[in-house]
Amino acid sequence: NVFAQCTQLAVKAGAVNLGQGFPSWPTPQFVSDLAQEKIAQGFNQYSRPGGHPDFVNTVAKFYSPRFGIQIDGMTNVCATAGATGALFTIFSALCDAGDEVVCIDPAYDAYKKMAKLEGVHMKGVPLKFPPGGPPHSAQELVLDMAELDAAITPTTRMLILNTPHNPTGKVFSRVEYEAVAEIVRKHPQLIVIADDVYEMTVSSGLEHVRFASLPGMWGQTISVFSAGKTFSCTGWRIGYMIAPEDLTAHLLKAQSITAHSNAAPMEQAIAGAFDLAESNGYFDELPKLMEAKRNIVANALSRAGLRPMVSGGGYFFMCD
Amino acid sequence: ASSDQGHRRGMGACAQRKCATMPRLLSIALLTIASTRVGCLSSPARGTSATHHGAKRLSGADKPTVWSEFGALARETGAVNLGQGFPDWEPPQFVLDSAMEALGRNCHQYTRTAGHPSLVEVLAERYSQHLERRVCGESEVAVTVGASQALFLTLQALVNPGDEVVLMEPAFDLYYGQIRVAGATSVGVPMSLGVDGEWTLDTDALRAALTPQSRVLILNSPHNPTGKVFSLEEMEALAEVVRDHPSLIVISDEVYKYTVHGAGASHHHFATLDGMFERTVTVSSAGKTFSVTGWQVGWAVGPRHLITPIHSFLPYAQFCVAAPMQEALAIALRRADEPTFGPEANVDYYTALRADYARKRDALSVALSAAGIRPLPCKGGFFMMGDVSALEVPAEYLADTTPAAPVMPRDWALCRYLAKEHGVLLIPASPFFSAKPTREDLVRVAFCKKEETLAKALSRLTAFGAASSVAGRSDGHAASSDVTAPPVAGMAAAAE
Repeated sequence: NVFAQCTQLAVKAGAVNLGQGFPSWPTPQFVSDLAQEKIAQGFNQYSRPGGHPDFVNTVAKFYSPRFGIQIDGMTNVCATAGATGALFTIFSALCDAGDEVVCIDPAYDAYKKMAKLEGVHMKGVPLKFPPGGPPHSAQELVLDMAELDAAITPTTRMLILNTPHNPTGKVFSRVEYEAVAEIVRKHPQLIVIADDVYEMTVSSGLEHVRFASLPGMWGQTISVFSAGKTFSCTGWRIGYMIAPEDLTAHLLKAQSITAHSNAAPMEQAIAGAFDLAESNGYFDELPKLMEAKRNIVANALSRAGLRPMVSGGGYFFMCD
Repeated sequence: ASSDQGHRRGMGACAQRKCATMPRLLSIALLTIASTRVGCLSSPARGTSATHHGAKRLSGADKPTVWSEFGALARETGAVNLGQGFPDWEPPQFVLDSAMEALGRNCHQYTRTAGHPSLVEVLAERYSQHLERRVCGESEVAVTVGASQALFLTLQALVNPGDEVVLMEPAFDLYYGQIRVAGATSVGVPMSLGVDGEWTLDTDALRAALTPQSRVLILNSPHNPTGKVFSLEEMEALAEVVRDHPSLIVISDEVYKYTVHGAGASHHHFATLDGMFERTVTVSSAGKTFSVTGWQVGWAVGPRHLITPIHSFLPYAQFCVAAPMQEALAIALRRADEPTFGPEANVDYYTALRADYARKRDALSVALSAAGIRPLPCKGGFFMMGDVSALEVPAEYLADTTPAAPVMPRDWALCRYLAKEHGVLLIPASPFFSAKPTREDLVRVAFCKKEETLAKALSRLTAFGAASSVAGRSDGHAASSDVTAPPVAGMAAAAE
């Protein structure tokens, strides 16, 4: 595991660790306080496989306006052990050995590793530099729609999208996603995985586009989210998916066989965090915080003679 | 539209550890999703794309089950719920304190994938003692999301499609779903029930069930649902079989190990038997032991060659288990050894826990007897089985049919009747058997319940018993004389 190895190296060498994607700042107080509160309130017995009603209904309430669709907590939401667990549940629930999945390269390595575990073939469609070579901004990286179109066939089982994108930090625009949707519309059997774990870290002036909210895309899209990224508590392992009823039913089924449920106090705390964050300005602060930090690191790399492709969102960007 | 496997079916196989009912503190809130500042919400688009099928490994896994049905019954009837396998009391104070301390240590980010170092250190120490050998935390311990995930990943890592997994019946039904998803076939070997109420495994029957495809034998002791605690002699007989089948691995599911409360019984670690360490994955968890079933921290311990494949799944199955909960358990596990527990604050936590469960077991035995149900001996865990053959089941319940029980077994009908009309919810035992015809004369009853809950159960079961004996005498279809006789004094003692 490259991340664990890099962290070990960093510890050994006393290096500043800009490798693994977790915050070194403390979890926001209002979030960590909630964990204590929920344990004291008695949320210590089994939650529900797929998420406690308090949790899934909070998720439904939070995301319904953001999707422009009435989401039902019990039938459209599946809670998982982090977004990593969500991906694992997706592969378990929906992929047989020999299935084909398309992703965009470079891609978060877990997609390919999980595919391999399940005997699934992963095809990567590369993001490209614009004419002129590595751009100053990741936003200028190009997804060649013709190549994507050619890569997806009637036998393709899933397409994995990721915005903000790991590792480039590109935030896909509405125009780009609409072009992807046009391709997807030709393949009603295709399932789209919209990995949106960095949704809350989009820089000013850019829009986070929810693929499932595009016309006609809801019925074949599973959106994946991470409370760990959103609330800087990556160790709590609270992830969740939003999908149409038939897909969610498969996900719930697989999830209930894999493990029982999430840590109940953590789940309840995140539900509480969503409610508080709606009104305490946290969702405005986080992207500003990330943007400021991005600028510090980008400037430092430039001064070191490297050429960063500055990200539009997420935790990472790449450097030439 | 084609009836899709997962379509509109809900949760399906929700097993004992995964209760379909909500704990009393949690209610199912139905939120109305209102229009918001963004404007009106459209209903999810319907029929614009084909219904999507699930992976083949899920096929057959979506039927409604005893859990979904009885979970709903518990909610509808408000019956005293002796079905659910988790405590209705708060975790012990020292466990809650450990959680608060852990949260104060700021372990909110990713931790080591195979297990949080402080927890793994404690587990390695404890298992070095349990297994009478030096257990290496780094390579011989894997921390998972509850014991359920430890079981799942062990099967995923060590079983190939086409393999067979042998288990003793009655059996915890989660095993069947996980075996199927691993692409393997489950082979159930029924235990025999003696007139003394003791369950025994015929090792000849076990040997007969083994084939060249047999890959895993699941041993569960203390046993769910019977409460049997396998003796050292019984385990040695199993070890003989395992020695004779070199490709067989044993999964020893020991989640109830700290609730061995039967007089003269004690928990043995199968992996300590001659040659068995190399052949065994030992699984356990914190939930049952510390009354924190919702914390979801479990573990698998075994030789490197069995644990390494399990480790390889962990980065992808969940990356790591909730770090604060792992840290909390590292603290709690050390505290539990201190002799500061029990009514005189002079025994360790585990000793006090066993004494508590022994009392609850006895209280439940009395309650069951009052209803004309013969409690079977129970030496470990917090489930007891009862023989209900003496009870009358009203005809309309026997004739009924439900999605989970299209053909209604007698024990299932009885449990529905008791929940709906007599305010007590027990679980029928027939779903714990796979071989047909299944027996229909047993129920499983949980006693991980507060004194008040057990007292309420006693009063309702006594009322039922009294009403039944009156009915029995008057309609000429008297049940056996056991129903009208006072509870046999020896039964409670026999439960020892």
